[in-house]
Amino acid sequence: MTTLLLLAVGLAAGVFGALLGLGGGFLVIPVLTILFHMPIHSAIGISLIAVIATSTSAAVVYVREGRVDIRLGMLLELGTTVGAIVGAIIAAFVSSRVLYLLFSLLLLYNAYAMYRKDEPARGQIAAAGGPEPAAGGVKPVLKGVDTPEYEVKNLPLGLAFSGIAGILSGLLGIGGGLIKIPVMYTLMGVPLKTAVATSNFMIGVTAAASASIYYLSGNVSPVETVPVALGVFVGANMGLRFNKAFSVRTLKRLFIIVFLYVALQMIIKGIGS
Amino acid sequence: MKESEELNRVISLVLKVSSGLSMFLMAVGLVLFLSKPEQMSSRTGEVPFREVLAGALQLEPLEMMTLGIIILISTPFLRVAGAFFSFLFIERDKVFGFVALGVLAVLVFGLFIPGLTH
Repeated sequence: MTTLLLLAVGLAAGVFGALLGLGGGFLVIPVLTILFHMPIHSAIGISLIAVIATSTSAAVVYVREGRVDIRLGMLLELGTTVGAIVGAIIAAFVSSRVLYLLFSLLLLYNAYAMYRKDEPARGQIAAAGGPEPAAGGVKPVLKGVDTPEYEVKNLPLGLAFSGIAGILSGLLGIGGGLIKIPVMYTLMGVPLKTAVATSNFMIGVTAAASASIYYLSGNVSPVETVPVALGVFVGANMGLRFNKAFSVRTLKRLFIIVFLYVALQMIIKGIGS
Repeated sequence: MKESEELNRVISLVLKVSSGLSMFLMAVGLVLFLSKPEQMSSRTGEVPFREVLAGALQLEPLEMMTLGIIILISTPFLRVAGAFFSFLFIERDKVFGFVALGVLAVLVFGLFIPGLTH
């Protein structure tokens, strides 16, 4: 029964995550900790596996279609992977209370970002996976990785922010697209669609750097991880199909309230733990 | 075929095969697990890989699921390794070949971090 519930959690996280343009982590971690009373370190480990699953399925499509700037992605991965390892090590030394409170802050920031901006999230929906072309039928920005139609700016700063995104990923079990996409788009001058696709390509690699540490530390139980990972994988692909029929704007408003409520719950849980 | 397209094709294929295999193992393992619920246990990363592989070959649900997870975690490693070989041997771009090697080195380094008790 628990297994089927976990599958449903993954499925819901995948569908809503894809519709809202988020990785599953923002939904998986609160549900596992608040409803299933799972230790937050285990929930983070499970979430990282789910992040790899969704990133990989999206990357298959985007890499084949040449939408990912693999060179830029690889360069920034130097920052994110080092950050992810640092994040996973920090997580081992901080208490659950700190993690709950940090995650709450991130949820609040996420709700704020969703309230402020529509555009990047819509791009992320397209990047969440699935064989269909990007939402709205947008053509690939890049035809080939060796013929970029833009110039990358502020690379050192981009690398530094990638490191921070990596730390948050390893520490809190999220993909980090929330940071990487705006950094590539606004700071580095990368077109939004390319930033979204490249971020999604990177997320799996970043998550793998810390997921292996969580796995080897015994925080990834297959009985609990597999249903969530499969659910998120299938759900993310389903979410893309629903995308056209749904009013994402209404859903977003609803989830801003959900995130505010969940953040409050996690603060309460954090203080009580 | 352009070199960059060849690079994309190679990496995309690597991702497709490994993620497909991982999902297949996890799905079959989960179905078998649900049909044998008495096996309920929560094994984690401490089981040696050889045992996991042997169990998976005998269609043991937990081992199949564990192998699926291990393959899924290793998919990004393969993704970077694929990029490394493609940069070096297909595109002949040494600089980015070394960048990919650097990322791979960081990923491998993570595997040697002693077990952290979270």
